[in-house]
Order: sequence, then C-alpha cells, then structure tokens
Amino acid sequence: MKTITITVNPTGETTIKTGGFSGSACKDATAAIEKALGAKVSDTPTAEMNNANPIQATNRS
Amino acid sequence: MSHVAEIQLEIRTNQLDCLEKAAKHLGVELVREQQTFKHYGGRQSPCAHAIRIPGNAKAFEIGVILSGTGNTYSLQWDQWAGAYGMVDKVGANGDKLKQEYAVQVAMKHARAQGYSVSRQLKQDGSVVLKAVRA
Repeated sequence: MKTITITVNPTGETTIKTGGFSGSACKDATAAIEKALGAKVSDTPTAEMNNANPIQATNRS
Repeated sequence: MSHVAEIQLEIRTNQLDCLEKAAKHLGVELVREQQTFKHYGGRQSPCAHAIRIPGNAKAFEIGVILSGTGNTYSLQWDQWAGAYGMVDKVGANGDKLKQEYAVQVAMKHARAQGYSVSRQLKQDGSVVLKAVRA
C-alpha cells in the first residue's frame, strides 16, 4: 500500500509525506504534485529513504 | 485605504480548472474570459478571467491576470471594505482561495496517478488529503 499525505495549512502552504515506497520512488510519486503546486522550497529525504519511509517536501505558494 | 493588491499565489495556466473548482468550493465563480474586474469606485481593470460572487453586484471582483511569460496567472483585487463580501468568501489576503487551490491541485494530480483521495479538515483549519494506492 502506497500512501501520500498532503497537508495544506490555512494559508495554502503545503507539506507532502509519503509512505510505502521503495527507494526514491516516493520522489517520483510526488514530483507531479510538487511541480503543479509551484516552486519547491525544501525537500528533505530521511535517513530511512531506502527503507520505504517518509520524505517531506514543503511548498510555499 | 483602497488599492489593488496582488494575492500571493502563482497559478499555472494549465491549472485554471483547479482555480475554478476552488472558487466554486468557496461559493464564488470563475468567469472565463471576463476581460475586466471591478474594484473601488466602480473602476474596471483589465484581466484574462475574473472571479465574482454570483448574485452580488456590489462585491468587488478578483482579476486573474496573465503573466508576461504566458505560463502563469496572478490574482489582483482590492480588499477595501471587505471587498463588499469577497473577503468573507476567499479570506483575508485570499488565504482561503490559496488553500483550496492547493487542495484542488494536489487532488487532481494524485487522482491522475491512480490514487484514491480522502479529505479531512483539522481543527487548526488545515486540510489533510490522504492519497492511497495498492
């Protein structure tokens, strides 16, 4: 099961977390969403990236 | 003081459908190809599309303006006197519109990749989208 959790705060700032992906597949999965939302501000892969754990990316629109 | 200001939101031209859905969600309407938007003192300024409150002729409108590159839109409006109802609909500084636009964009692109998306409103006003795929 692959999950993407997208949180949009009351001013439109967006945080994306993924789970259930292997390796960098999570980045591929969120790339289209991030691109559509606009310029990416930060993208912080976790140490567990190779072990299907979350990455976080933040968009400020 | 009355003045026309920009809402801090960049909209890709190919995401205009998301702006349209966001507007509808908030009870306002994107009128495609309305080429002027109304603000203070009955003034009209040029735009590519406009957002209005249906049935409210007094409310100021939001201009959807094509950027120089032709790839993005910016939003302009006048918040004076609450824009006669528009601020209630889209939030101060357009914050509700910015939030709902981001929600619509994220939902569209998650669904396009085959995800099922559920939506939840948190107490702090954040919207959480859970996209799940087998």
